[in-house]
Amino acid sequence: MRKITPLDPHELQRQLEGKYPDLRAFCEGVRLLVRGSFPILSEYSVIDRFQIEVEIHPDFPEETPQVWEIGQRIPRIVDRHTYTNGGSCLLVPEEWLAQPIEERTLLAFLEGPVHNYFLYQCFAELGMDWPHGERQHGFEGVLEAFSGLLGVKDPVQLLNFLKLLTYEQIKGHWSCPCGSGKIIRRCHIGRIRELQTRIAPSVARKSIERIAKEYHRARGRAD
Amino acid sequence: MDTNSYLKSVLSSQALETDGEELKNLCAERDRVKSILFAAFSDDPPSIRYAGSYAKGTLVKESYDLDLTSYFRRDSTIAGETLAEIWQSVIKVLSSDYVVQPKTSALRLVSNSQVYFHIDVVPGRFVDDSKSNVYLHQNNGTKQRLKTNLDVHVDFIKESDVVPSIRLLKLWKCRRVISVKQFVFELLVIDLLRSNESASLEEQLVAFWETVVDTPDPIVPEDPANPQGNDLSSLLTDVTWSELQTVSQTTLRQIENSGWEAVFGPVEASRTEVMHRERLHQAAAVITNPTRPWFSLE
Repeated sequence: MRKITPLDPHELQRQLEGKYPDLRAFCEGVRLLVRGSFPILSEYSVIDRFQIEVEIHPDFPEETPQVWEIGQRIPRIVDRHTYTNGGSCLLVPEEWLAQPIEERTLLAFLEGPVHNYFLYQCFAELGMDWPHGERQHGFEGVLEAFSGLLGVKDPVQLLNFLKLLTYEQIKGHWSCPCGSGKIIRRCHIGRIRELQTRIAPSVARKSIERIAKEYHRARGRAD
Repeated sequence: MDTNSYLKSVLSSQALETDGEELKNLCAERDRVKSILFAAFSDDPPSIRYAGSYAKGTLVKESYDLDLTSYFRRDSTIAGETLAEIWQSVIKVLSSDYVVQPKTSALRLVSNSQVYFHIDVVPGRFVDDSKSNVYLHQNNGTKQRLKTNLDVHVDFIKESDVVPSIRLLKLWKCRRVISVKQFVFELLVIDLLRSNESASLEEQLVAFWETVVDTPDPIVPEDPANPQGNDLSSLLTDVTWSELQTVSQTTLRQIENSGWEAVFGPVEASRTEVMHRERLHQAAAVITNPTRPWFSLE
């Protein structure tokens, strides 16, 4: 798959400078990092700022960058979607990975999920609701996210669809993942073709892994 | 607006408003800390004073901590016999009301719900009865104690004639998240601007960045409170210096290519909470691809 984001910090720095002059890209050992003051923008004015660090995975854009709030402004608690190390849970990662690969640039990530997350944090800080809602924590939130991505609510159906999407090629005579007993060609062929354009097999595999992991965590907690 | 007027406006926007909510809340929290310490050590209370940027006049609104001293008399044993015992006693006392996060020589106070108050308490013990020099416990590093003097530090900064540049450069350092300790950075600015004290703000800032870029090895300032005893070189290493150089170089390039607003951004007008809320709602309303935060129960 084509890598579209340069992993050279100098090139990355140039990309950031126009909109994010306070962010700087650099290497720390083998890690490629972006660090600095991140502005929350409304039209062209800055409403607020957060000190952040972003680690760009070597497999970017096939992996979601990790983000930390490093100014110790956001309480590191579940309800603020922040881990104890300042790690920010912007969204269920596969929601980002389900975007077309050419749209998954670092700038788009900063302007989208990162900006939204920190804007929402300003609401939370003032005791207001998250303006676009929030996912439930853990397994339930993952199910919610994948239901949104696939348009399927039943967990079993959802997993069947994801399993199917892990294949590079899907045959029309296979059983439809909706559980109707029909073959795909006579059932959800249109829907499946549409999903294939958005969800790559690698994303489907990661999604299944995430569902399994969160399911076991939820089970572990319940036990 | 010319560059110097712009820089002065940036500075004004970075002052804590004297009648603002933020300062009121901060003072209320400070009073609470003070009363906790006074109550715990009522028989021989410590000296509680502002230290850090608030005392030195170098505070920038975007990133500040209110440092409060908790200095005990030289022969007081109310908080312990040794500096380490004083350190532990103060932690214990404050832990009843706060989550205490020990730093190198200060204790950061966080609420039980993880809200950070911007207040750090610095425990210590006066060296003698003149109550001027003080020993601070060192929580990490090779030294166990550090001799310092708050009054000397405050005077040194205030009399430097470069306080506005210190504040602007602190804002620059905060926005770029450069890992140099605040008090060392302030001393470095004074050191590098020694021959530029009468220059304009613009000239001073450019002189600072150019000197950093042009000097291959770290320039380690002296600690005016203890020039022989406190070697600050471990706080300004080759790695940190190189980081300062890279960011300084980028900054000079940004000024050349895009002007000063690329460095400090547009001047941020003071705002009321109502205005702030309104702007937040406006920003949320124009989001075309909303995302929803999640939390993995790791």
